[in-house]
Amino acid sequence: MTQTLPAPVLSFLKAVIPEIERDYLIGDLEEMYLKSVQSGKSRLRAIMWLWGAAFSLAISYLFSFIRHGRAREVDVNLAADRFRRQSRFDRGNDGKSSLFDRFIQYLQYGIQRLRQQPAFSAIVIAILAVGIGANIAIFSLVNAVLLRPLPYSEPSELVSLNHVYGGSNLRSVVSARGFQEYRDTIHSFEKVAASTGWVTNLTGLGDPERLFGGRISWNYFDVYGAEPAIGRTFSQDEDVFGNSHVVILSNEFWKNRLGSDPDAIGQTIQLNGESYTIVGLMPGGFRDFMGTTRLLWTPLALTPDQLENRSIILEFLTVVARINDGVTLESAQAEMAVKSEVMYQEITELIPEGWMCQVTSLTELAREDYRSSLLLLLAAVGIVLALTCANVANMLLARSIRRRKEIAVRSALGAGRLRLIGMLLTESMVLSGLGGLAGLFLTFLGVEAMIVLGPPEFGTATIVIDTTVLGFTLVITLLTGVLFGLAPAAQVSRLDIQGTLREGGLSSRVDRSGSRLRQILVAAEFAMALIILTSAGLLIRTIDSLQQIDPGFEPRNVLTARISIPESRYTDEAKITAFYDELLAGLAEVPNIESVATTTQVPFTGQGYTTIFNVEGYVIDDDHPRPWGDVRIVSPGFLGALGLPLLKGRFFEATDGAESLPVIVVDEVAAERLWPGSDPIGKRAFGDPDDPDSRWFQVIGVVGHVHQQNLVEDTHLQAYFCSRQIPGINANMVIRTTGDPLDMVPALRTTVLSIDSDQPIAGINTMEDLIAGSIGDRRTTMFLLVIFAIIAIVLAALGIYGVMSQMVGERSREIGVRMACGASVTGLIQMIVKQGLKLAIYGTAVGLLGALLLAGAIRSQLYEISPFDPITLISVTTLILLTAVLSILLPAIRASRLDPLACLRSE
Amino acid sequence: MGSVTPLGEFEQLVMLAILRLIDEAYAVTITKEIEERTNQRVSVGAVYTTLNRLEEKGFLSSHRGVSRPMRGGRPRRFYNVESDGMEAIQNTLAALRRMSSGLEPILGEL
Repeated sequence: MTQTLPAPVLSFLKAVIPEIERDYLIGDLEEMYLKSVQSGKSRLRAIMWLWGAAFSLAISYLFSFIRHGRAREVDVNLAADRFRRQSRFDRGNDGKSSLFDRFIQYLQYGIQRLRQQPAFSAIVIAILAVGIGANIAIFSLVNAVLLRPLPYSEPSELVSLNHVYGGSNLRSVVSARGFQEYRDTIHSFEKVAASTGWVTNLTGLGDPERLFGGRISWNYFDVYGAEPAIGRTFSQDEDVFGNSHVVILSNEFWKNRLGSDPDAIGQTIQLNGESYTIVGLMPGGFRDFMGTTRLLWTPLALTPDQLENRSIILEFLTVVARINDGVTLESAQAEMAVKSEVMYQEITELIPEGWMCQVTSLTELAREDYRSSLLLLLAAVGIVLALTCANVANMLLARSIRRRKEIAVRSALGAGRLRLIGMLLTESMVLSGLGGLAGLFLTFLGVEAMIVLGPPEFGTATIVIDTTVLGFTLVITLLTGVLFGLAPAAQVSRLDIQGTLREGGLSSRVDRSGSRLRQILVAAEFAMALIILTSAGLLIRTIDSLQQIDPGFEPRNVLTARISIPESRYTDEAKITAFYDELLAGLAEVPNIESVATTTQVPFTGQGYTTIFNVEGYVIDDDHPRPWGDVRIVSPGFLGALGLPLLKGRFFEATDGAESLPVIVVDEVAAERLWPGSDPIGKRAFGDPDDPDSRWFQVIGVVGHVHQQNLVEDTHLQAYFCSRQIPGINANMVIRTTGDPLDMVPALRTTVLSIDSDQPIAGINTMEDLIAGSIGDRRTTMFLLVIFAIIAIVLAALGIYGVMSQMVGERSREIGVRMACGASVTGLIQMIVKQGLKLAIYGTAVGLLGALLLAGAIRSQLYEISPFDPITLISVTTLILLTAVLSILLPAIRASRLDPLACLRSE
Repeated sequence: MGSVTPLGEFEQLVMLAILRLIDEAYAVTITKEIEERTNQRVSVGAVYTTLNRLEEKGFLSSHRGVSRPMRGGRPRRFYNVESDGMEAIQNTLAALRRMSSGLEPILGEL
């Protein structure tokens, strides 16, 4: 009878039903279908029934495949059938099997092998999961921080403007005067926007609260290409001094403070005691390119004073510009270089030598801080993966030597080499596939951990497992499978079939080349482990030497907090001074507070204020560039509260006030630079040399230098003004305590509220936390590298243990002879350890060479530690060799306990 | 009660069908037998799954039948009930009988 099943159903069944069951099933279906047609059912109904049956079969086979990892095989006839097909499959000329079928067969074979050795498979999959998982995790970080475009429209058109000072690494933000100049005169820019942080006190909505807002130029959101969800952004005439009482809210503010009130637009809120009308609402998730979020924005509204020439290096604006269509970054940079030169010529007396405005791609800027550490980590996980591959290849090799006979039999039955290699590779693919899946799962955990443990800036681009990451996973998983599957597969192609069969699969020439390959792999593992261990060691040493740096003051037991009193209520200097006097006096009476002071800038918080130092009698020439540096305004107790050493003269006292002689204190760096070789006390600075009536500040003391921004680069001149002479509304409290500084927080709160019940406190931190935070990046990199180093050394130890165990097994006869001839136990152990150690030493030597060659890659992460740091190299080498000896000792001791007679009889 | 696992409802139907069909039990006839006697539509997939499961439990055995020209020369797989299977179906039916005995006035003659 001719074929009766419709062709599509037949192909479908052929695709989904395992070949071994296919004939019966198709036969059965054909019979039923035919009967139903013959019984007079309509053809349509019969076909519908047929499809239903086909699908229900497909599903039930899918489930049984998942449950058992293979189709069933029971009957002898069926087994014989299967054998015939298997050998046809091995020969590769099974014309009847579909492509899908062959794939399933390969897969079934692989899974079957896995199931036969569940412990072995589990270990391999676990090792792969760690190796692949570490790679996915680091890659997802790289993807999030370095690869994904910034979340703005046409991000490549966006640039950042910065003022730079020749000869220093300082990259500053831009002054109002500069912003105005660049916005109005640089033709390469389509639009230019500026913003600055604005700390404001919110009142009238529950408890008073200190908020982080931003002041932005009217076109700020437009430059980023962001649009408000509701309402509008600012108009140009709102960005004018005195006309700026409008506010745009973040989604977070709208949700948390206004309960998502749909009628918020047009309402007013109280900021710093003044009314601001809500005009717009931004969608959730808007961040600037540095990842900063703001709760609300008001217009920048620059004051006429800020736009004066003399304010040219009063830098406080983050400036972002969008380049015109068709203008390259290079030509914008060139135009800006010319502009900088012109400005320098025009107002040369106000600008230090080497100053210019730099145009940097926003994308570059947002990434550069993390590039080197992330690439270092990526390299490290790459090595971990290579190590993983070497390790798994080794395990498979060891097994494939035991499987020689099976392979020889298959080969003798007609399986071609290509087919055998394909089979072995499929097996490793199944392993790496499962390892990849498990790795992906580990990554979800790992990424969570990284978000928690990593520096907060990593959050700039939220880490997600996206298609890029999944694609990477797929590629790396396949690559891994091929890499570690290759070694055992290559063995097959050199297999001496006849020899193997004749010798019962016990030994052959492949043996020796196989063990040699395994030995090379183990040596390579040691080389790679050493490289990672060295990097981790160097970073540990770096963190250590960073922690040794003296920040210039005594950070222990110091609490800091920010306070900002509203201008609207503290209208004159007397009121401001009275508030802070009362606060300082109140806090000084709290038990366990040793000393307390205010300052405009707290070290290590990123706060900073730099300006030109006008020094009486200082002549500017080629050797004496115009001095500039940090200034801060502090209260008299600052010296004691921060623990800053007084080197000369005196510090501010309660008698220094608005009516007394204007005084300053400078740091040792400024004293040396500005008045080299003479006593700075009594010298004058910060006046106007052209104005005979100018108010000058007299130097009354010299203090130690304070690291302001970070522990590493920081040599600015520093000058201190007295808060009683220049009162300001913003201040940071610095409180030295006798116990845990955080215990003082409630007392601080009560004292502040007892003076002004509307006054919030923010930014509570201990000084030690702030310093630790400044090296957080390196700490995270180190932490991850240490984890990778541990993985690496464990893998290397496992590798050498495996190879030595096998060697002991293979040479048991020789060992037996030696023992029978009277070799001592220690002699035997020594012999084996020596042999194993040789591998480790070769590997370590190559690793040392590699570490030296790769020194450049890690240099940027180090501080005061050479990439060739002998202490690190020696301790790492010792650690590696010690690990090697320990891992070899186990099989060596086992060998020494062998029964010589049994050994001799074994062959 | 025997040591063997109790049978599910559909498993009972399949086992009983095979016993009824004696030497002619293969998927097609089994399906037909169940459909005719229970007046229910039966899913082909369910029949195969059940046959495979019962065979794995050792309740059934199967062998390859001779190819026939009908059904395009494709072979059939015939099923037999093994002794374990026999015990299982006996136990199941005995349990059913014990549970229903005395309930004839309510249930009617079984």
